Amino acid sequence: MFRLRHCLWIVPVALGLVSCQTTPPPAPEDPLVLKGEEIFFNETFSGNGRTCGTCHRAEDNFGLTPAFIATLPDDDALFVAETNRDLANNFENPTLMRKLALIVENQDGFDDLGNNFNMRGIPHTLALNNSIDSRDGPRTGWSGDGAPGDGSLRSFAVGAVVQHFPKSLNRVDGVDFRLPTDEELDALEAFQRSLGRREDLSLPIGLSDETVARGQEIFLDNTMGKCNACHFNAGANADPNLLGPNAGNLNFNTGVEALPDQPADLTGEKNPPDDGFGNPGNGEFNTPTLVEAADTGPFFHNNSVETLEAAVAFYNGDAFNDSPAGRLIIGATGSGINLDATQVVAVAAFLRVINALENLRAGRELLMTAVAYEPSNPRQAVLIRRASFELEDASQVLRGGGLHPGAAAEVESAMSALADALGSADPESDVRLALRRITSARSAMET
Amino acid sequence: MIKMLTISILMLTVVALSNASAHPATERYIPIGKSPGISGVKSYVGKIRSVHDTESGFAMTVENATTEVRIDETTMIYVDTGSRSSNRIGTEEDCEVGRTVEVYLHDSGVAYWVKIEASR
Repeated sequence: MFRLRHCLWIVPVALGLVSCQTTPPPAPEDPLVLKGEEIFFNETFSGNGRTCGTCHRAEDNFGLTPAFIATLPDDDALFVAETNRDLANNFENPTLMRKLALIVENQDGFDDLGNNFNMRGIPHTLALNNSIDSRDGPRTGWSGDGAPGDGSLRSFAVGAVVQHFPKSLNRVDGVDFRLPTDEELDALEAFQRSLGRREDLSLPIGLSDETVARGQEIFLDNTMGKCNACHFNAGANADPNLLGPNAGNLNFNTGVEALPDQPADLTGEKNPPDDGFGNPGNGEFNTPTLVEAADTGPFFHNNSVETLEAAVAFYNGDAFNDSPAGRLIIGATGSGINLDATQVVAVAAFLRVINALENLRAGRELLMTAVAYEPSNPRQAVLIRRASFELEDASQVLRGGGLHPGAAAEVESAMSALADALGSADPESDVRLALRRITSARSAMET
Repeated sequence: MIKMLTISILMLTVVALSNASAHPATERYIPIGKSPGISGVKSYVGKIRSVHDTESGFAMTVENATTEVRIDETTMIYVDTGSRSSNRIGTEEDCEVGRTVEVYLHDSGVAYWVKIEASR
C-alpha cells in the first residue's frame, strides 16, 4: 500500500528550474504510468518476443550499450535475428549489434531490405517530456521523424512494433505482430513522459569545481563553445532568445555522417550513408538533450564516438565546421568552434557534473517514492534498484572524468546503503542513510 | 547584438525548411483505419465512387457524402492486403471504383497518403 502521508516528501529538488514543455508531466506513480511501464517491459505484441524494454533497458539508462549487450544471454530477445530463421537476413546485423549496439532501421522504405537501411544506435528515452516538442510538431527518434501516423510520441510505439517486433519480414498485422491499442498507446506515452528529468535546468548554476565552472562558462558563451544556442540550458531545445519563442527541439545537419573512420565502417560490414530526416532525407538529425549525455554514450545517431570528451571535440573538427550547421555558425559569429584540449575537457567536465547531479536528483526522487510504499510491496524494491542504477551512473560519470572524488565516495556509500536496504526486512533506515549521502554528494559539487 | 540577430535570422531560415514529418515507411504496414492519431481523427474512410478522368485522383463516398481526393507525386499509395500477404506500395491503377479506401488529406485536397483495400 502506498502511504499517502509520505507524498509530502515528494517535492522537487530546488534547482531553480524553468519549464518549457507544452505537455504537463505525468506523476511517476500515476496508474496510467504504471500500466505503461508494465506494457513497456512485458508486452511483446504477439511478435518475435521483443518488448520495448528489450532495447530500452532500465539498467542501461533506457538505452543499450555494447557493454550491456555483452552481459546478455544468447537467447535474449534482442538477438532474434540469430535465433529466428525468418529474421536471419536483413532484419539486424548481429556483428554491428554486438560490437557497436547498432540496430537496423528502414526509415526510407522496406522494398530493398538488403540495401535500403541504416545502422543507428538506440537512443535513451529519458527527459522525453521536455525534449521532443517543436513549433513544427513533435520530433521523435534520431532524425525527428520516427513515428508513423501523426508523428507523435504516442504513435511511436506503432512504428517500433512494425520495425522491430515482427516474426517475419512480411510484417503483416495480426500475423507477424499485433498493433498496440489506443489504450496501450496512451499508457506507453504516459510512462515515457514520466522517465527522467521532466523540467529543464536554468543555467548557470553554482558549481564548486573551477574546471567544471569554466566548462559551464564556455558552454554558455556564444563566442566560444556556442553550445547553448541549440542545447539551451543543456537540454534538447533551441535558445528562444536566438531562435524565437517555442522553437523547441530542432533538426540540424551537423556533419556526423562525414566523420572519417567511423567504427561501423571500419568493421567492413555494410553501412549505407544515413540521410536523416524525411524520404529522401535532408541530412538533418534531431538535437539530443545534453544533461543526460554523460552516461548514455556512445554518441550521435550512429554511435560513432565512444567518449563524452570526443563528442565535445567533434565540434572542433572539419566534419562539423564544414557542415551546414557549422557553416551557419561561422556565418553568424565569424568563426567556427575551436576549443583547445583543456577547454574540451572543461566542457565535458561540466556535462559530467550536471549528469551526475541529475542522476542524484532522479535517485533521490525514486527513493522518496520507494519509502512511501510498505516494505512488503515489491514495488519498493523495484524503485530502490532503479535508484541504485542512477547512483552507479553518477559514480562512474564522476570517476570517469576524475571529478569530485569525495562526492563519488559519498555516492558509493549511498549505493552500499541501498544494497543493505534490498536485503533488509525494514529498509527505511538504510534508504534514509542513502538519502543523506546523496545530499552530501550534491553539496560537494554545488555552491 | 548584430551577430545575435544574424544568427537568429540564419537559423530561422534553416529551421523553416524543416517540417514535421511522420515515418512514411512504417505507415505502409498499418492497416486501413489504424493509423495512430490520424485514423478516426484526420482521415476519411469510404469507398471509391469514381476515378477522375482529367487529373490524378478520385471521388470517394464517406457517410453518404462525396469527398474529392487529388493525388500528386508526393502522395504515397499503400495497398492493404489484410492478412493474406505483406502490404505493398501501390499505384494510381490500384484506385478502382468500389474499393475501400482511407485517405489522409492536406488542406489543399491533395492526399498525403492513400490506403486501398487489395482487390480480391
